[in-house]
Order: sequence, then structure tokens, then C-alpha cells
Amino acid sequence: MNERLDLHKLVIASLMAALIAVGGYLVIPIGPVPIVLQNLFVLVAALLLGSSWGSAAVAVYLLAGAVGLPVFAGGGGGLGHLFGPRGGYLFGFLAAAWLVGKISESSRQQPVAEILAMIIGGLLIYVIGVTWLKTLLGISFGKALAVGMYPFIIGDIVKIGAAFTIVKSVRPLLGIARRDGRLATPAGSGQ
Amino acid sequence: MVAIAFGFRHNDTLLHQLDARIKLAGLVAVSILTINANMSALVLAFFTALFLLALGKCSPLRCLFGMKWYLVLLACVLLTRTLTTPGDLLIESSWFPATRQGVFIGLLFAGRLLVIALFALLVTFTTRPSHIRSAVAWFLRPIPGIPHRQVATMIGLLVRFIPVILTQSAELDLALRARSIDNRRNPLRRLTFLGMPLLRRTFVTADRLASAMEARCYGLHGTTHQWQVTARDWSALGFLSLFCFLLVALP
Amino acid sequence: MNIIEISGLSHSYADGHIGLQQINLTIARGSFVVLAGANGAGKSTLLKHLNGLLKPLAGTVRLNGVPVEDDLLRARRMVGMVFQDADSQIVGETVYDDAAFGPENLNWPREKITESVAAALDLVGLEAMAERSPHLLSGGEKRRLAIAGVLAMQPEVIVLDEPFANLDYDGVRQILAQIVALHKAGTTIIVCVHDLEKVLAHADRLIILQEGRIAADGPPHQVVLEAEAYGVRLPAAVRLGGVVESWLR
Repeated sequence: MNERLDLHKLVIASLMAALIAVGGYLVIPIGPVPIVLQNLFVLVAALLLGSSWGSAAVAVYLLAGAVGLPVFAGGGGGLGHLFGPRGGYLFGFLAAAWLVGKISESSRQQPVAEILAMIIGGLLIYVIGVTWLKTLLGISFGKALAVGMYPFIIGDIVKIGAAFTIVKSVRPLLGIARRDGRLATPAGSGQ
Repeated sequence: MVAIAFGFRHNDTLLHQLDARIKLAGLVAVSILTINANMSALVLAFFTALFLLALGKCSPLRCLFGMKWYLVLLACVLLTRTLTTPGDLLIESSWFPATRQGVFIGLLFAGRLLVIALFALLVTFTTRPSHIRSAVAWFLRPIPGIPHRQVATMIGLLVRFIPVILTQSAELDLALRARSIDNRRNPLRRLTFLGMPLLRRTFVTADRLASAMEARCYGLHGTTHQWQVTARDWSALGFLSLFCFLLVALP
Repeated sequence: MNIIEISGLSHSYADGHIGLQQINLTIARGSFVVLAGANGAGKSTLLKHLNGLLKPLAGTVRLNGVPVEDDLLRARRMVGMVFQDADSQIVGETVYDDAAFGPENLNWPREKITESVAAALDLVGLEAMAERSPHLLSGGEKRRLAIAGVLAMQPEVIVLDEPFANLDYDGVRQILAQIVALHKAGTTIIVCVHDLEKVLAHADRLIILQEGRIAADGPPHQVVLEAEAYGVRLPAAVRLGGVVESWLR
């Protein structure tokens, strides 16, 4: 495996993890339910980095948070965040990142497949997140859906559109960096 | 800057000096045991956490500030459990069907999450991020298929770049507002205008960062953290085991 | 004695853009070289060949007689490189961690790392801030930390790409004083700038690049007169018939 290429992927995945963490703080106030950018960046990371590095970015974010590093928006809490009301969504991010990346890879980044992948990934987040919420709060599925999914659906449709546009525009940049890296890799850097 | 506000602060207490691996192992063990703890174990764990926070010289105000949104979530848990659990009504009112059993269950569920968060804060406040990172690498080492050094590097970069990206996004937000983004009704446009430049900047940063790391010889190997285990660490491990045993054994 | 010998070095990018053409250059141990040129003249491309970040299309770069590609780790330890953007080259979560990053990658024993990092932070005056988050440092302090991160690897050559960019007057003076002190201590210094004003008074050699070639090379007071022809601004003092004064005075 090419060392420089790996380092570049590693750095990008780490920064995407930081972006996912920052996404928890970024709120766009539109309508009654504000849009949080976190799951937007999860989708973008999955499409740009693919299944393995995309889910690695999410996993590193969750791991860092679990061991008490200050990465979760809304304050510290370590494993409490993962076990808490939002925990299902956080684990859902991990599953969605892998699935969306996988679909995008196997469809060779076809637009329709990528949008479909994001819809399925978005639903997967809710399946895990809402089930978790229902169990923790001890409420009915209907109520769990009403507080844990319905208010966010419109925002999520907008986010899927945004993720698609963003990925289309920045993906070439990633490609150039990669090609440059390959060309510039010194022959003996296998160390 | 919230991310920095509840981070590590240098001090010289007993807890600060403890081996990070013990603190991390303790955090995971206590969290997992607490999630199933009964009321008496929970009360013990809660007061132990308060005692340890005092021992580690963590001010109560910082703790509260450090998890204010989390507390809101916990309040929701308490409230829903109180209102949805069937049992003896506390007050005769149809729009506030709080039950005695509900309050108990609510306190138990919210209390468990609160205690876990308090222990996590304890580790956050008393452990240097680089030590947490090294401890994670140490625990991951025996697991095959996980490149522990790379994981540790990624965690380090994540913590390092959160404030950088936060500042960038704040700058970007101001720049967009200076050009009247607030007038845009289309949320799709607003999301892409914020997201695209952020990602572009992230890519540029990543390119530079990768060269800088390469220039400073980043590779597969490197000097690892040197752990010094003292008698104090062993006794802490002893206390930890006792505490875990109590959490399970209390009636 | 020459510490760096470059012969017949050429490089071009993936998109066909030519970076460097037939560069022949030797740099003497202990010298203070200023490398100038307009944006895109090939300064950064040349610098990145000194420690093997870029691989030459043709030609060789030798450090103390050994080609860079033969031992990349040695080249990167010998040639410390400080990049232009301080924020994206600081890796550690604290000032100390960042300075220790290079030595740790070199697999040095822990005692040697502690010693070397302490010395490096002391030299740039950041020893009191070892526990700080790099994000909270000022622009000048960040750049000093970037220098310390390189110094901790005990390099023989220090290369600085636009070290004065985005710094206020005080920041410029801090960094300049640092560079001059390192040069006095015997380190070979290569500074890459597009504005000569701040650094020329301390240099003993000025090289001007244009479109990937060496356009002029020699003692600063002679070469500086040709600067304008190659897209580098003539310092005001020279224009008025004087000499460039040190910013440290």
C-alpha cells in the first residue's frame, strides 16, 4: 500500500471527523425546527471517503467521545451520550456511513444511486435512533416517531439535496489531491 | 469555543497523577455497570462521583456548564418516564398523569445517565488528551486488524482541529451574513453555501497537514508513551475493583 | 563545504505545468540564503525537493553528498521545513505535544525527546506555554511553535516558506530574531519570500527564481538591483539609493 496515499486518507478522514463534530454546533435556523448540519457531514464523508474510511471517520468521532474527549456537541458525557437519548442516532451514523459508502462504491458513484443511498442511509439512522429512543423513554412507536423523526424529515430532504450538490462540487478537488500525491510519492517511502 | 471550555485543565491532584489507562478502564467498567444499576448502587455511584470530582478539584460550575444540553435531555427522560409509567397517581389531574412508580423509574433512568456523564467529566477534566489517546492506543494494541497508532493519530488530529474548524465556520458565517445570506429563503442554497467552502478549506488544510506530517517523519512507527505504574496506581485499581463489585452486589 | 548540492533538477506537475527546469545549485554550510520570486516561480516546489516531499523528474538533490531518495528519514531530519500556513502544520493538542511530534516519529528514546523538546521550546520562548492549546496562541506564537517543532528534530538546515506572511510588526520581529539567532548558532538557513524588505539585511546570498529557473544569484546588495526585472519588488531603501536596514534595529 502506498504510504503517502494512506497518510492523505488518514488526514482527510480525521478532518472529516472534526467536521462531523463541528456539525453538531452548526445550526441553520429555518422554520420551527432548526437544521443541524451533523448528519449532512456524515453523508458527505461517506460519499467522499467511501465505506471504510467514511465509517472510520465516524468511528473515531464516537470513540473519542466515548473515552471522555470533548467532541460531542452539547457538553461532555462520554459513554453517557452513547447510552443517552441521542445514542441511537450516533450509532446510526456509523451504520449509515458504512452503508452509504458501500452503495456509492458499488454503483461507481452514479447520481441516482448516491441519492438513493442517502435516503436509505437517512432511514437507517432513524430506524436505529427511534427504536433506541422508544426503549429508553418507554413510549409507544407512534410517539417516538413523533418526537424523534417527523419534525426532522423536511430538513433531512434538504440535507440530502445539499450533500449531493456539495459532493459533486468538491469531489474533483479530492481527486486532484490524490493524483498529485501519487505522482509526488518518493519511490522509497514504504519505510 | 465550547469544545475547549470543558476540556482538560492542568492541576496536581491525586486523580491527575493516576495512570490514564486505569482511569479509562474505570470509566468504561463503571459506565457499563451503571447502565444496569439498581437504586442503591446508583446512589452510591452518584456520591462517589461527587466525592471524586471534589478530589480532582473540578468546580461544580464547570461540571454543570460542561453538560448543560445533556442535562436538558436527561430532564426529558425523567419527564416522559414520570408521565407514561402506569401506577398510583401523585395528583388527581388528567393532563399531568405523574405516578409514584413513574418518578422512581424516571429518576433511575435519568440518574444512571447522569452518573455515567459525571464519571466521564471526571476523566475529561483530570486527564491530558494525549494521555487518553495513548491509553486508547494501548487498549487497542492487542486487537488484530486495528492499526492502533493510526487510530491514536486520528483522535489527536480530531481534537486538534475541532477548534480550528469551529473558528473557520464562524468566520464563514459572518462573511455570508455580510453578503446578506439571511435574505435567502431557500434552505438548500444556504446549506450548500455554508457546506461547500467549509469542505474546500478542509481539503486544503488536509493537503498541507499531510505534507507537514510527512516533513516531520510521520510513519508507521514511533516512540510510544512511557507508562510508569506506581503503587498508587495499583491501589487505585484495587479500589476500582471493589467499587465495581459493590455496584453489582448491592441489593 | 556544501551541505546541499542540486544538479540538473527538473519537475513538472500532473497537469503538465512545469515547476522547475534544470536547476543547478550548491549551498554552503552555515549560510543564510534568501530565495525570492513571484508567486508560481517555483520556490515552494524547489523547497519540497530538499527533503523528498516531491520526487525529481530529472536530476538529484544531495545532502552532505548523499542523495535525498537514498534515505528519506535522514533527509527529513536534516532539513527542517517550516511551512507558510502555521495553523495547518501544528499537529499536537498542546504546545508540548506538537513539538514532540517529530522526535516521536523518529523513534528517539523518551529522555532524548524530553530534552530536545524542552531545548527547542526554550529557544523560541514558548517554554511557559507548554501546556496550552495551540489554538489559543497568537499568530507569531504559532509560527514560533512551528519552528520549535522542527528544531526539536535537531536539523542542520532550516527552510522557512514565507515566514512573515500574515504577521504584525511585532510578530515579524520575533520570527526574524529567531532566524538570526539560529543562523548565529551555525544552522544553515534558507528563507523563501516574495518581499525582500524584512529579511535581506541579514542574508549573505540572494537567489531569484523565475518560471522555474534561477534568474539571478549572488551577494544580496548586487542581486537586489536586478530584482524588479524578475517580478520581485525592489525594497524602498534600495530604490532611494541606500541599503536595506535590519528590522531588528
